[in-house]
Amino acid sequence: MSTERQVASTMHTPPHGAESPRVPAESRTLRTGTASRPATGPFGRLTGAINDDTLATLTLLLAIAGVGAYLTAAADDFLSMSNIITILQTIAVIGIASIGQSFAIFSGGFDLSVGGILPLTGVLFAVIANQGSGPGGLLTALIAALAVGGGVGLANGLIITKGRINPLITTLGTLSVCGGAAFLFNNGITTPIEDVAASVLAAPALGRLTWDVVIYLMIVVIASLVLGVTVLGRRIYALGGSREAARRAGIDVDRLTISVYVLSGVFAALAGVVAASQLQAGSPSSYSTIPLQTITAVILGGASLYGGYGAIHGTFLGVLLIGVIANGLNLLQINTFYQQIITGLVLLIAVGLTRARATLMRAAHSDGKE
Amino acid sequence: MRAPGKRSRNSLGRLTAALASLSLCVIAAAGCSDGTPAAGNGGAPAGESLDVAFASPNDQSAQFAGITQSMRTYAGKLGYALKVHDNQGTGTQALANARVIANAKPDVVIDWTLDAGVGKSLGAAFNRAGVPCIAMNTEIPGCSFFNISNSQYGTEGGTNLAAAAKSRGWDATNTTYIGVNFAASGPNPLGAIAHGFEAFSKSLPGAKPVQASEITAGTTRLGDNYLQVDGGGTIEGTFNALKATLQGIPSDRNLAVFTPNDDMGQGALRALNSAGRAKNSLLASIGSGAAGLKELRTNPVWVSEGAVYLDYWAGYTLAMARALKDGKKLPEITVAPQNTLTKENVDTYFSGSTPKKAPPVPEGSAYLIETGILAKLGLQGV
Repeated sequence: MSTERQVASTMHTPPHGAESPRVPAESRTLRTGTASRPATGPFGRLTGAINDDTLATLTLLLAIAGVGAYLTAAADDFLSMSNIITILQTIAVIGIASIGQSFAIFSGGFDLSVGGILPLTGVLFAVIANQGSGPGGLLTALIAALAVGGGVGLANGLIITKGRINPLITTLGTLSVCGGAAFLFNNGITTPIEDVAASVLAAPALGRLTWDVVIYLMIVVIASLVLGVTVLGRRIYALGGSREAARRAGIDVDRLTISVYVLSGVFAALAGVVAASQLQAGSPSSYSTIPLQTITAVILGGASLYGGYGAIHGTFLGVLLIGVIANGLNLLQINTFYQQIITGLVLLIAVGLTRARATLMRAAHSDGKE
Repeated sequence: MRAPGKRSRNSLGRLTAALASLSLCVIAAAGCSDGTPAAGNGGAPAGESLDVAFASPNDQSAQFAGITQSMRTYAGKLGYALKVHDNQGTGTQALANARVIANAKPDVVIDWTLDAGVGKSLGAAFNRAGVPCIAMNTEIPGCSFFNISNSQYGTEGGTNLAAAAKSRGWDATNTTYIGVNFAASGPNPLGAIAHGFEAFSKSLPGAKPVQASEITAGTTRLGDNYLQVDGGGTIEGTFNALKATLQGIPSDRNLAVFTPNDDMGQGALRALNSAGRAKNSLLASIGSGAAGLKELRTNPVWVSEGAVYLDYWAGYTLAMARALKDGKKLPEITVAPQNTLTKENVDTYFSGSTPKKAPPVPEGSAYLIETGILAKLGLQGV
């Protein structure tokens, strides 16, 4: 086993229960200290077969199933195919941006700039698409938007690594710059996209499933694989677990950090393009709360705010829970003020269940040691 | 432990900070005034000159900078002395400007603050100094208020929706009115959509007439014909909320949607299109932006558009200033120039997205005609 891999596997909680075939389970010291240790005793026997990550996933699935069961009983149309597709379309934008946020948080950082990149690239996509014509114009607009997203991510990475400025402050700054630039582009006015072909991402792709949903699901799968089975994934978790240990293990932590923010920027830009395609317009004031929504989704998915731990499927479930709640409250025609309260309470309960799960696992572990 | 020399550096730092603070205070006291007297002051006949201070909302924004430009142009035409102070979109700057204006004691101050929270302080500053004041768009206690009438937009928009619905043979048995609110923005958007439904329910065959006062921010459903959703003021918020709500409405039901701004109107339109509901839907909105006017001209769904003539606001408030200076008691609210456009009259008032003709002076603002200012500026309409 290489030194790098050893450090990566000992300094952080590996993703997805860390069942990497290349790393012996007994060599790991997990942050939550439970997942792969032998468990005995009543609690231990109860939870021994289930690792920490699986339990986190089950908790979220349980929460979604609970909310879904209630909504199925309360709203006739909740389980209809068209409503399920509506939910998936609604979460696609936040979901894609949350993938980038996951990379940033797993690596021990934050990316608030998604709240600026998303509207900026949405407006940019709309303006450039209006200037060109046909698929060529849309492709140019897409490439330009992704390049801007990647460029902002690169700037974030460089400022964080070379300027030694905290990610929170750095991305707060670029959030403001990008948000202002989005307003500058067309004097703060929403730009409708003239070419109806621009809404292609909201058009059906497979049966009734639309392209935006298909793209989102593909990204979830690819990002899960990247983080779960590749060296890059392990390095990102190692970076989040301990930057210094990762550096000593031979990882070029600056380069890796820059890569993570470039990825996050590109995902935010793609989310901006998907949003513009869905709305057939680019609005500089759109999705202003997306930094909070994406961070909430990632944390809800079981990630640690301190980095080194989390999983893409957890983020997906977190986004799905938020989307199901929002959809259900609209279907039930709940007063908008109560909607905010209910959303907050459900999220608190979900996070509470996640914490209870961690406590249960610790108890099982102690039980096992006695 | 403090490093040698650190104390002196800290002292220097404190001195620098103090100087910087002092500089900021001086800048704040100056109120970012451009300090230039009004253009063309010398041309005013005796007894008609007026010394006006204008606290603009935020000259960094293209939309608001346009108001400031109009104010300069109209003041120049009238031969009024004008000093402009930029409130910079913040309450603190608005307050700093108010103090400067109160000390200067102009004949009238016209103030537009984007921070309603400082309204009381602004009003107190002007009233203490005995400077008559006009509040634009955001209320300032103690000042005459100038604003659009959301209830008028609502009534006209609802009437247009009902007329279009009737022409398609819709009635209360097969039609739902959806008011898309923006609750966080306070009572104004609700005023429009609620008055819209009042007018709609009075005109739609078979509908039970409803009063706007029966609808509150917390209303989600009223009778068989009214649904209310919250679009959060944004295109994507309206798109997502309406798209989810449409899942619960039978697909053969006709829809009349009212949105309080054009971004929300576009979000609603996208949701209707995306759900395949546009063919049996109608939409009314407010804003008269380029996108809204284009939809009104070209899209059969978009049947009504409340027009806001922001460029003319400067002329109206200068007429108010004249009336105040002449000792006239102003009404509680002076209504801004506005009307509601349909496919038939949109080209009468707008060329592209630029106003080409002033609308008739609203009923509540008829006293402005007596000042002669609107006629001088070509804003009297017909």
